[in-house]
Amino acid sequence: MKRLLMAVAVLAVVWVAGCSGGGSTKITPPPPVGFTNGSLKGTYVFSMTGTTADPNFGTSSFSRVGVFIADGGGNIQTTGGLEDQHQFGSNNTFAINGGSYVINSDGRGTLSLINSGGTVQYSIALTSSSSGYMVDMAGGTTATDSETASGSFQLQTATTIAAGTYIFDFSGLDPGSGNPTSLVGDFVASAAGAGSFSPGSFVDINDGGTLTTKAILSGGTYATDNTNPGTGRGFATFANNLDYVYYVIDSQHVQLMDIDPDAEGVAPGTNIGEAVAQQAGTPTLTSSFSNSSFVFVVGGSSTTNGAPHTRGVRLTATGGALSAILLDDNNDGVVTSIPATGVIGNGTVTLDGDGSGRGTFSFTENASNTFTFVFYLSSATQGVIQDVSLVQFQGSTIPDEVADGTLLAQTGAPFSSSSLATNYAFSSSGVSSSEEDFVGQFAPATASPNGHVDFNEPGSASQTVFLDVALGGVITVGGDGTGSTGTHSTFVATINGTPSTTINYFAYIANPTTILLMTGQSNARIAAGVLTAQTP
Amino acid sequence: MSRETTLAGKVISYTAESSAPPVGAHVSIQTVYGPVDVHLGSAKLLEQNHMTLAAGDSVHVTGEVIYFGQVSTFAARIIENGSQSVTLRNTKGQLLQMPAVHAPRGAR
Repeated sequence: MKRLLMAVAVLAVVWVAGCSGGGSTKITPPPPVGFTNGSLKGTYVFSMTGTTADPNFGTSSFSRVGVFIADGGGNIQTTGGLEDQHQFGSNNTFAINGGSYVINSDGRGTLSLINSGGTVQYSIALTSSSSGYMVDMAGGTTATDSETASGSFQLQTATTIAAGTYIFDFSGLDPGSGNPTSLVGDFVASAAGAGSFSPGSFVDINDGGTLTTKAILSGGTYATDNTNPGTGRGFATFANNLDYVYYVIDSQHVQLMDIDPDAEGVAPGTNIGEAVAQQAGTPTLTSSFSNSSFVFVVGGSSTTNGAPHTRGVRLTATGGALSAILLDDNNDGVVTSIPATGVIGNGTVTLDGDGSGRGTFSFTENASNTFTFVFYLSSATQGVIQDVSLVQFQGSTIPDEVADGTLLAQTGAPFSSSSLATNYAFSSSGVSSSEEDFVGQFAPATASPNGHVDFNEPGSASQTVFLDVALGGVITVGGDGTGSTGTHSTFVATINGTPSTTINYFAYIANPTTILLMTGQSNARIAAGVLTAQTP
Repeated sequence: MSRETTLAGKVISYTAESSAPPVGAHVSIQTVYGPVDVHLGSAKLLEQNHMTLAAGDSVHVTGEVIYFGQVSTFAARIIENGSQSVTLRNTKGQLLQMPAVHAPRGAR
């Protein structure tokens, strides 16, 4: 009995210690959602992008993509895992030699991956046994932490590229200039496994404010990496010598990362992104649009001063016309809703109709507020989108930001609190004094605090990594939740750290399982994120 | 940065956001060779490091001349103003950037 009491006391100490990272005074146990270590089992493709610092190189973005193998029992397999990383102009490949993980019942957990460079600690949140979000917690819990990144992972079910048309969105830094870049487009893979990029492959590029419209991307090749069999890794060279390493996720998805060398033979580019197979029935004519509503959030940086910038939009397309348009803009902490009240009543949508899925949205509020976005559809309900809006700036016309994101159809409306009463995984990335990344989980139907969040913010004055901080997540549905009358839906994340922090987001509800987020509070952080319903 | 040199001079003018290539912050400094246009890159990076540049400030700039078509500018890697120093490019010559917002990935 004495031993039992001792064990209980020790467990209590461990529990309190595990929840004290954010200085929270209130400890709430994770809700019983139903995840276990067995929920993470198999080979997963992971990818992320973030910021790291070094005395010689200063602050720099970096990217990471690879595969890890989870055994369903808390262990990472010692063989078969692999990781490619861009950091400080170098392109490195590491074998993953093991690691471990713990999955809580709410789907949150920790994951450590060991490679020859050391052990990297991640906080994760599962959306299902097939996917989840992750944040790099590499720096530990001290102020010396100088690295953060956010991304996602998906269960791998295929290791070779399937033939067909893929839509992609890559963003990061230009390999030559180091400028922020965004590339959206399509490529046509000629054959399964290895082949060439067929005619019909195109790309739209925003390189530090210089736009390239629908450049031909065909002509390059791709092939599986036979030196790392079973990993799904391969190499692709697009037209104009754009070199990428890739990992196949499944027959519909491929994760890619730029490995372009520059003239000095280094690989400074950090572009990273996903390619999604284009589905049959993807619209080619605007007549396919019939009261078709879309939402999207783009993230990136301003072309004029390098400041972080994000935009969220909802709109409805019918034929070639747009209506019920609402845009929110957060430019370095200055938040503007356009229009200030109501919605913009008209705009235009185009589709190239050549099988690329490419089209544009354009709308104007007034002479000084004209917005244009180029998109590539992978289906009737999904695509990628890039901001190509131009502004008059000191006598020149230039794009005002380098930003892109995911385009999603709005389905299942009207939305209500009851239709959004499921458990959500929460991922958000942005900039306060420096980059900060959040990953968590909450159950909106329960009393606040109703979840937990881990976050990493290297710019904070003292502690940089915060674990198991109580989170109060509240989704407020405005009107019917579509935003079509100009009424916003919101997500408020109250983080019970010391001090307590409240993050106010605009919520763009795509459907009850996916809600896109952008911060909507002036003079505060600039961030984008997503809520994804969990299915244990 | 093998062609790196260090310029010394006084600030003539500072522009946080120039639309002339390359886009970004520029400072014009008066050197013994005459006025030189210096490209600094991200004004936000200067702001983040609490560096301000005003006419008459004595500065040292380490970097090299780069060309944008017919236009040349001095690309600064490090700028020093008094006791303050800010690194603007890495040793590969690439501009350091403020972190950008990453739109959510894996949202399906």
